[in-house]
This record gives sequence, structure tokens and C-alpha cells, in this order.
Amino acid sequence: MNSGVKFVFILIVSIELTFILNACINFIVAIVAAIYLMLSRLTWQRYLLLVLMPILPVLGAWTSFSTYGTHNMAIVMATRIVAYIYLGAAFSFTTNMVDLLNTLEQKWHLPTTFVYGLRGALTFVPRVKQEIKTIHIAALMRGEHLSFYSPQLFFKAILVSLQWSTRLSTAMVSHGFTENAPRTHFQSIIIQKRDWLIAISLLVILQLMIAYL
Amino acid sequence: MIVTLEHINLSYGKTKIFNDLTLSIPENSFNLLIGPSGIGKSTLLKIIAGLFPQLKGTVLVDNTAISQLPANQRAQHVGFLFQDPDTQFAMPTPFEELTFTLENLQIPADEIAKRATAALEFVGIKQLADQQIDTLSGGEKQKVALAIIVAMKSKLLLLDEPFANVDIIARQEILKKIKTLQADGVTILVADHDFSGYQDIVNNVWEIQHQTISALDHDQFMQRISKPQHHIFKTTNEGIFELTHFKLSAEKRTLINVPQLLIGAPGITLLTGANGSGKSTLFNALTKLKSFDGQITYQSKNIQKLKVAQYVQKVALLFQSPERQFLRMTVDEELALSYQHSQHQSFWSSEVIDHYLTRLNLNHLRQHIVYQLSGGQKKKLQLLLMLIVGTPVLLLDEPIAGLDVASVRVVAEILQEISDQGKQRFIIISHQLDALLPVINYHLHLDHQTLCYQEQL
Repeated sequence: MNSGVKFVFILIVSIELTFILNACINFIVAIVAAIYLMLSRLTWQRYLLLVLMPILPVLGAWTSFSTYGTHNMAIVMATRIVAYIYLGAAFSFTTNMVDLLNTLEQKWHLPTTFVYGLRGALTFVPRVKQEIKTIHIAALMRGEHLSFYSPQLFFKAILVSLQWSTRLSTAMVSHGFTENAPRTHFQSIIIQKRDWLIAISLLVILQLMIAYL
Repeated sequence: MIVTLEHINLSYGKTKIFNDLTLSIPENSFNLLIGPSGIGKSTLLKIIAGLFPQLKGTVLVDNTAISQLPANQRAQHVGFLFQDPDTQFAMPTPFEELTFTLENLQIPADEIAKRATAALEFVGIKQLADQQIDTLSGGEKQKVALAIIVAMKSKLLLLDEPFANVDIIARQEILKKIKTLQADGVTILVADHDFSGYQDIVNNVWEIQHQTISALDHDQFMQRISKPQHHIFKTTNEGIFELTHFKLSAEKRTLINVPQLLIGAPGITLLTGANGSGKSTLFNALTKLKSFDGQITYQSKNIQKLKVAQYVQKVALLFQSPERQFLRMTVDEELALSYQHSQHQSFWSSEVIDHYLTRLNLNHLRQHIVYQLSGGQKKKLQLLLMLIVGTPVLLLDEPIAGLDVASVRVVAEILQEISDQGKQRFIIISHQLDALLPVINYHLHLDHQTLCYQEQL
């Protein structure tokens, strides 16, 4: 499914869930999301994470709502948490960010500055951890120990990120990027009618369930 | 004329950089721009590229007031290759960067792949198209940057010390490609400290001095070029580090594989090897910044078992980018911090520090903010700071990259003095060798994943 359509679809379902106090619907949403995740062929680490991750929040919600609220409420909250986690995963574990940003740019006309700023920032993510380690050891070499709450560490980290952002904007401008000017697209995003059809049908089914369950 | 500058005036604060500078560069020529570090070479290139829109004076490229154009039109007139290879990419892979650029220039989709492939083929890096740019070496990154400019079809090519982190072979390859571009009608302006390889290919040499620019004729330029040297080194079976079954990899690619080797003999060791062969990565392993297989010992102690905080009091690294090493705001504060943690406080009296500052031509900058110094000034200050700290072993990663000839000579002298006093052992990675060679004791060469001492260069 096109990542933009998936994004909108999951967003609508999530918003609806916040207003519904029905464990049954939460349960069905979680099951549907889980089936989708199983069909998506993720790594076993991710499946393990999906099994383990809900345990603590579910237990927490369950005990506090059954102690201070009603038993019914506890079931609704516990299932809602599982539904949210699986819905979130169904989006974030299966979506290519570049694909989503391309859709946002080409189909829904999000400003290109925003789209390419984000894409550039995404390329920095893997470097952050090593950078912090380097800052730390570089300071030790000068005889200074920077603890994780040290203002110096933050100052250096901010400095590095400022450098990265200046670098990024220089790189973009020197390669002809102009804010919000028209661009051509090497890979045009096409949203299949089928994608909309699936999303809308699933939404209709959800409304029917809300009405009758 | 492809470039016309008239009556350019520019100051940083109270310091005048250019005073009534006038320059015209003929179309389809190969130009070299020289001058000591901090004199304004980069600034001049940026002016020509139209990156100083508020400047007083006339800047015309291709008879167009370039600074008034939006970036996507400017790129078709001027292509810029930066000194720091990391400054030039916004996308994760070369191919994506190429398509990003061509989309910006509004090239139709069906032509993008054609142009991108042609550019990659021209530079000879088709095999790198889908690799992560982060994993490429300095020389490979500069080739990618060049491919992008080729794809943009800019008429004027500005190169700001593009070879500072590039080995000799890659440097020659890139220069040859650029020369081919000239034959296709492109005008080239390169700022460089290292003049080797230019004598047969340049049409004009420009020198910045006294806040203005003048042309050097062929004879004057030939006098500036240093003669190739031949050097003999000692070999050694001594060393403070011992590598055993040592294996270093990057992204599944084996860089170094050594059964047993001693490195870090007293004196100065030069470490050479092609771009991307793993020299800097070896330094990162020696300072515990990067993990490795096998064992490294320092004075017979396994470095994996030593605490980082204590270990880096013995073995420190002079990072390739000097800002990494800075922790305070002004030059004076930095010096005070280094002195506070110095392992030879009795030697580094304020007179001695003054003396070294003067020799490095930094003494007038003591109140300056370190981050606002020029590239060369930052490197010289960084070196002095680490010499004051005075760890028994100092690993220097490209300590003279981007320094002018005079500064390189001073740095070499200083390294030799400190080494002769027996305070520190140095291992140096450098691509610019001319002025360094006389002070080198040992030469360690990295080739085909092995390290061995060589007697000649």
C-alpha cells in the first residue's frame, strides 16, 4: 500500500480509537494490525519486540484501572494499548520514510524545504551515537571528563548539529536546491486506486463495527 | 571573460580581506589560485560563486550577476567543489544525490538516469553509485562530488583545496578528469597549497597577497614548485604498541589484517597508504574509538582492559577536524585548559607558549573565538594544544592538511624538537610529504591490508 495512504488511514483509525470505549473493537484492530505485521516478513527481533513491548504498559494500565477504576475500564485500556502499539508498528516497521516523504511532496504538496530538510536529517541519524562517543573521548584526551549531563557535552553536540545543518544547506544549495521552486521527479509516485479502495473499505467496516458492536 | 570582478572590497570586522580587487579570467582556461592559509582564497571562490550577495563591487560570471540568481539557475553557471568532502552531500548515496541535483535543475525524468550514468562513467565510479556515501573514502567522495558537477554541466568549476584529504593517485586521476572537462569548454579555478601536478596543465596562476590578486608567469611559478625528494628511512623492531592477530574492518570490508607488528618507536613515524585503505581507522582502533578483532597492547598491557580515561592520558589523537578538539571559547582559554592538564608543566611556561604561538603566527589571535579562526589557524592551534597536554604518544591525522608552505615548515620543526626532547612519540598520517619528510624517522606503509616498514620513499 502507498505509504501516504497508509499514514492517513492509520491516523484516522488511531483518532477514532481514542473516543471508543469498546474492548472488542480494540481487540479486532490489534488482530488486524498483527496479521498485517505477520504478512510483512519482519526480522525475528522485531517480532520478539512486538511480543515483549506491550507487557509492561498493559500490566501497568490493567493494575491501576482495576484498582482505582472499574474492571471493564481496565480491559478497555489494556486492549487499547495493544491496539496502539500494533497500529504504530504496522506503520513504522513497514514504511519507507523516503517513500512517504516523496508522496507528501508530489501528491500533497508539502513544501520541498521541509521534505528535503527531513530527508537530509534522516541521513544523520546513524552518525549521532558515534559522534557522542567521539566528543566524549576527544574531551578526555584534553583531560576533561564530560558526564552525560555536562553542559559542555550539550554545547559540543549543538555545535556539531549546527555544523551538520549548515553543511546540509550548503550541500543542497550548491546542488541547485531552491526553496519551493518547481522540481522534476525521477521517480513519480503513483497512488493506485486499489490502495484508496482498501483503506476506505476498511474504514467503512470499522464504522459499521462501531455502530453495531 | 567568464569571470569579471571589479573593485571588490571586503572586511571581516576590522580586518580587511580584499582591497579594491579586480580580476578577469578568460573562458575555457585552467587557473590555479595560490596564497598562504587564511589569506582569503576560499572567500574569493565564494564571492565568485555568488555566495556573498551583499558585497560591494561587480561580480559577473558568464556576463550574469550571479548572486542575484536562484540556486537552481546559478548551478548551471558555477559548480563548487569544497575542501571538506562531507560538506557536499544531502542524500545517502551517490545516485540519489545525482537525481536530487538533476531534479532541482528541472531536468525531465527520462533524461535524469541518462545524465547521471554518463557522469558516473565519466569520472569512473559507476561501481560506487549505490554505496552509502558515509562509507566512502575522502578521495572517492571528491570523485562523487565531481560527478555531480559534471552532471550539472556548469560552465565554471570552482575547486577549494579539493585534494587536502586525497591521496596522490586519486589526486592525479581527478586532475586528469578536470583537464578533460576543460577540453569540453569548462573553465576551471582551483585553490591549492600543493603545486605538484599543475605545471603542465595550468594556463594561469593567480596569487593573493596584500589584499589583492596578481598573475604569476610561468618562471615565477616554477620557482615555487619544490623538487621531488628521495628519502631513506630506518626500519625498527621497537614499538610501544604490539598488534597481534589484528584485524580491522569497515562495513564487512577487511581493511587491515596483521599477524604481529610493533609500532610507535621513539621518534616520528609516518603512516602512508592509499585513500580509504584504513589509516584513520587504525588510529581510531589505537585510541579505542573503533572496535577491532585480535589484540593491541600498549606497553604490554591489553588496551581493551585499560580504562578509557586513563588510557587517553597515554595515547591521544589529533583529530582530522580541529574543532573536535576544542572545549573552550577563546584561544587563551584553550591554552589555559591544556596547560592545566599538561604532563610537562615545567616545560610549558608562559614564555615558551608565547614563543610557540609566535612561531605558529597565532600570537595576535589570543582573544579570538576558536571557532572563528581560519582553517589553517585552527589546525595549528589544535596541534599546539595537544603538544602542551603532552601524552607520551600522539597520533596525528593529517596535521598539515590545508596549511601553507611556511606553516608546514614550522610545524615540522616543532614536531622534531619535541620528539628530540623525548617527550612524545608521533605517528603521522599525511598526504603532503615535501616539508615533512626530513623530520621523519620511520615509514610505515599500508598496502594490501598489511602494514610494513619501508626504507625508501
